[in-house]
Amino acid sequence: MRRSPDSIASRTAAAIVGGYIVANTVAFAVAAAMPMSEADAVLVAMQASYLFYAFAVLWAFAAKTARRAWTGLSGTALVTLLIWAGLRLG
Amino acid sequence: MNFRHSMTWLHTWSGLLLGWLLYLMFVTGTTGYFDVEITRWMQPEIPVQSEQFDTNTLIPKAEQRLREVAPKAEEYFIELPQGRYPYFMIWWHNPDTIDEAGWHSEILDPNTGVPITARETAGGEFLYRLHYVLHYIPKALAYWLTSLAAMFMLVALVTGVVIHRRIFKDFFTFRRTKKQTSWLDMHNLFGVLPIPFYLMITYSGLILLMFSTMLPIPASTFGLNPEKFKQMYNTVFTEAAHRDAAGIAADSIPLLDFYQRTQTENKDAVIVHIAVENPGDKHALVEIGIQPKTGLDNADTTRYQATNGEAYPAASHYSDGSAPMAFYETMEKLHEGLFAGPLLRWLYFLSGLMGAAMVATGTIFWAVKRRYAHDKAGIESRGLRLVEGLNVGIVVGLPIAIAAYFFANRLLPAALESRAEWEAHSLFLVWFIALIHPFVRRANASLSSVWTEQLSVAALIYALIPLLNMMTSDYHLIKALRHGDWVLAGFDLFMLLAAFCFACAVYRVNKNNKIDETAATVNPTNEVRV
Repeated sequence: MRRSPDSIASRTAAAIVGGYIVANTVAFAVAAAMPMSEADAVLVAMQASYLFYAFAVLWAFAAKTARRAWTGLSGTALVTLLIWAGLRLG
Repeated sequence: MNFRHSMTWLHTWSGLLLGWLLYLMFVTGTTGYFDVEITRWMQPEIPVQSEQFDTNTLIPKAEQRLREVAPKAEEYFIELPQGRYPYFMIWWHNPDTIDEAGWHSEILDPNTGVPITARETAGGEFLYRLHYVLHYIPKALAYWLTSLAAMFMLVALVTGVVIHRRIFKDFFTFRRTKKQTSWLDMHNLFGVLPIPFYLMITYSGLILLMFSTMLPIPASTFGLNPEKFKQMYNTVFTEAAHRDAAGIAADSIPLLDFYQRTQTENKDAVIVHIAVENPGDKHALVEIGIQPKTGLDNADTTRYQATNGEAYPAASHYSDGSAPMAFYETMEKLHEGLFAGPLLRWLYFLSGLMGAAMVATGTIFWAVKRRYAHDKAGIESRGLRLVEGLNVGIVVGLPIAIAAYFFANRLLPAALESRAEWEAHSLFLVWFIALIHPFVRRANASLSSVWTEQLSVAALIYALIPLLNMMTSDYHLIKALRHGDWVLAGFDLFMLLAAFCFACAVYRVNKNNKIDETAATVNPTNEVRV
């Protein structure tokens, strides 16, 4: 099985860096949305964040192209950040 | 490329990249399940376990010792003998304001109550800490590296399941004679059986470091104000109903009274510790720790006012009313396995070793598969040689280095300055030699002879450890067995078992070589799967 080196480098960066960012932004939204005390909501979000990270990594390598991997991750980050901002600041 | 193929690719490369770090984490983390037993072996000045403890005379002696040695302590406690560590220990915590700040401990002779002067050692704790603090690098960096490795492990586990459509069929497949595929079969065997353990240990490991790696999340709620975050952190982790010192000295009731009282009130109670908060103060509290009935419960504690013996409300935990925190604490307990009795503890140990074996066979399969393809195509790759050499130096080199650590414990002079650190240096020095050995040797030797050499050294060095124990302490294996000291005897017996396993591995490598040589002349091609 061969992949172009560009695609591999790009997907790896998407998985590690993009995945970390997405894990955090999804957790931001979860922490803001959970109907419990702030401390509890943060604990839930932190503990679940690794699950989000794992999904993001799988997505980075499962997407048809490296570009799609990045688009999917950026989209998720953007949407969850908006949810977080809406809930926290709105 | 379909989903399953991408996952195969991801599994192969992510597994290799952090496989060696994961191997280190599995091996040293697994030793952590027997950390106190290892420390006990590393302090041969401690006498073999005596038959009976006279708890009623030892508690007053321990209390008296604590008053002498820890007059300024904020907290001290007596640890009563238990199955894993059948010795009386005293611990005290000095305030940060005095020279000897922090925690200190002493082991008391079970017969006389006099403290035992044992050698300085990094002990089992060093090996255990190695699996997440690493060594020679800052703690914060180690937390990130080990978390990254655990994250890869999580991904490798998920992708491993995805690529095994035939997971159950593969599990029961073992092709002993085909060298290449039998590595894969072994990898599957070690990988599938303890999958619940791997998922638990990996995820809980990640969670335990979340306050280092996932700090943006609390910041998203509490903002960048460190005070608000600190407040949240303290709320969830600190025991409530703590009682501040009054600052007025007062006499307190002897600890033995509290011990005897608990025993009369609760006949089944197994008392594990007696602690005093703010000793010598008017507000001093005595806490009696009782072994919980079921493993995952918090330890039952009863508290009394030390001056008049009146009951005081038990400390409450944030997790009592918070499901997320209860989940966190459960994960922590499952990861550390402190609650585990002997049988479960061995199961933990075995699962951990299987994890190490899974990673090792995975990285070996990676190399064997490529070696086969390269040889067929007549390519010589430096990258592959590097992986092959590192596989030997890590898979066998690390156990050799750990054995060297035990040797250093017995052979370094007792009065050596920073002795504990030199024990650690010995481990890394020997490991370094084991890491370069394959590259030096392969100039004129085959890969399998490099394996054989290191495996033979491992078998020999582990077989010598009980002998070393006999020569450098008064308590050899036979004597320990005669006294029924299973902690001490168990260590030596396990070393012999390890030596036997390495010897078997030497035998297998030699035998496989012979099969390969014959097979190469009869049937030059082998079917390759995956």
